[in-house]
Amino acid sequence: MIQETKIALKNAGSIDPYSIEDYMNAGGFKAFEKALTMDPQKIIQEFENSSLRGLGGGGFPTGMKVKFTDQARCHKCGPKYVVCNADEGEPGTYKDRIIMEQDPHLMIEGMLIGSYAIWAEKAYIYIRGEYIESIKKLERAIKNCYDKGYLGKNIKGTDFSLDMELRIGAGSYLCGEELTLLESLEGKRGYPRIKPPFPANVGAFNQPTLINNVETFAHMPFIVSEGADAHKNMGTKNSGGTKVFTISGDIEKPGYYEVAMGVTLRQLINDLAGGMKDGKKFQAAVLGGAAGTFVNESVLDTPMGFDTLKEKGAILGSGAIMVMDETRSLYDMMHSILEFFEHESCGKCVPCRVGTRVLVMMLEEVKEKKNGNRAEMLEKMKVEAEYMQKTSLCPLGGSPIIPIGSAVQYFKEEF
Amino acid sequence: MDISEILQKYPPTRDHLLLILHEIQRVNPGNNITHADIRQVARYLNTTTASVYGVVRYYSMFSLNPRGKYIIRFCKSPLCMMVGAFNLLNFLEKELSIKLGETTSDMLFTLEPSECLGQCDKAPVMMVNETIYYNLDETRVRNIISHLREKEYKKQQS
Repeated sequence: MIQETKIALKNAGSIDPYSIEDYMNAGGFKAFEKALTMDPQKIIQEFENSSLRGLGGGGFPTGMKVKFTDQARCHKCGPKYVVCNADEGEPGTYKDRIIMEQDPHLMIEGMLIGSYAIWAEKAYIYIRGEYIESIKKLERAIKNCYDKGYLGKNIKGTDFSLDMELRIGAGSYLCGEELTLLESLEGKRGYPRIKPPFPANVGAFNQPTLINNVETFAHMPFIVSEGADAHKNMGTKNSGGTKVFTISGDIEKPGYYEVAMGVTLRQLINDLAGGMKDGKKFQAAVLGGAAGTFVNESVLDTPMGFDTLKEKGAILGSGAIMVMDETRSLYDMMHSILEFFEHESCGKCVPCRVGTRVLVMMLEEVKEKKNGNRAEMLEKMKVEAEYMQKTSLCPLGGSPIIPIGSAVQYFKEEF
Repeated sequence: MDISEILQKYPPTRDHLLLILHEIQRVNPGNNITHADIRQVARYLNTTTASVYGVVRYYSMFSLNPRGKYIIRFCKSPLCMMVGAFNLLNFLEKELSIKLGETTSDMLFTLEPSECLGQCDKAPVMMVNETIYYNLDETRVRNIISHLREKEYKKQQS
């Protein structure tokens, strides 16, 4: 029987999210105060050793990201920024919302540690406009931190100063992509930038910027206070620590569960989520949201980590798991995923703008075709999606290949 | 509507644009951003009207057209659709006698599609202004709408 292991949700539900005193009584800001006594280089070293990966879905080693941002030298050597990506919009994902609504100070403490490590002057939280509850709590938490002297000039009597601001998005899925987010942060249309340069070198306002997901920042206090090894030993070989999985669909107890990396899908469904709803049979799960992979029961016993799932042609993504029982239509699910991409494509790159529409039309054709031609049509969709991936600037154009590729791999017969 | 008070709250740099637009939209009776607002914001931020207009048109939460008092953001995420949102949306359209994206003739409701609202464990969901309603079914949707209608009706009476 698997148990929950909590880092990002350690205080969730047990403290008042509006109260900084509650947070401090639960051990809050101890990690940041410890960090202030440490050499920033040592903190970066700890991040590297912890095998913390970008928990927003990218899975890029966080330690490396912090190191690159720290080493970045801009031509004018202006300020460095820290940005927290709280623009959670991946369908099926709500882990960031839970962290922000139940323990907003934890994520801010993580941002403080990250800012100290690269000696940033200013930090931004970019949050989506629909998360009204989270916005209210973060506004209060930032104010609390200023009142207690954790933000502002010469924090706790050191040379380190940091200001923090909240920025609110306005309903664009694409702005969850880091470079697009930075465009939006600067008050522009959410169009993707050309990569490279990466944000570590040229980020917000063309300055070196450390940009991480809410959950990633929420892990930083733990790494500083408990040490990199404690974090590393929890997960799989290359994915350290825990992950908040948000599991929904045809299961008895849909919800969010934080467990050590390496848990299997079967354990999540049976031990934590109460098994399949009404005793129906498992048909498929979509891992990682809309830009996620369809998997069948052959993946149920694969340990969930960034690399272990990749070997199976699946992805961990943001930790979203949508479970479908035997009565559900895979076609309908794929149709709404592809319609979603069509709706959210920003239109900057032609292959994505046109391709997302063409894929919906092709899928509708798949349904009409007789058995023999369906597989052929699916293959064609895969080719189309591969072209889109190669010719689009941002990950949205590269997203449809993920569900389509996995559907061809695992469910060719069912479509 | 004079928006200069709102503008004064923010330093005149471009990166505050989204925050300014959000606030303007909140105070405007039509829940929208007018062309006059756009011109004034552009002047304040020392940029072109076209570039502010471009931002307003890009983000789905901003609207140029006047909208209803209650903006219904209906979650169209794949998961909500799987567990019943598809039929529910048709039901809601009939209930309000409008299509997705339209506003009722009494200017009470605007029905908009929304990306995943992050409430998937309680799907299907919709957001009415700042309130989230979850575990929706036809009875619940009908009750929510008639409750809001009644509330407005009573306000008009008194």
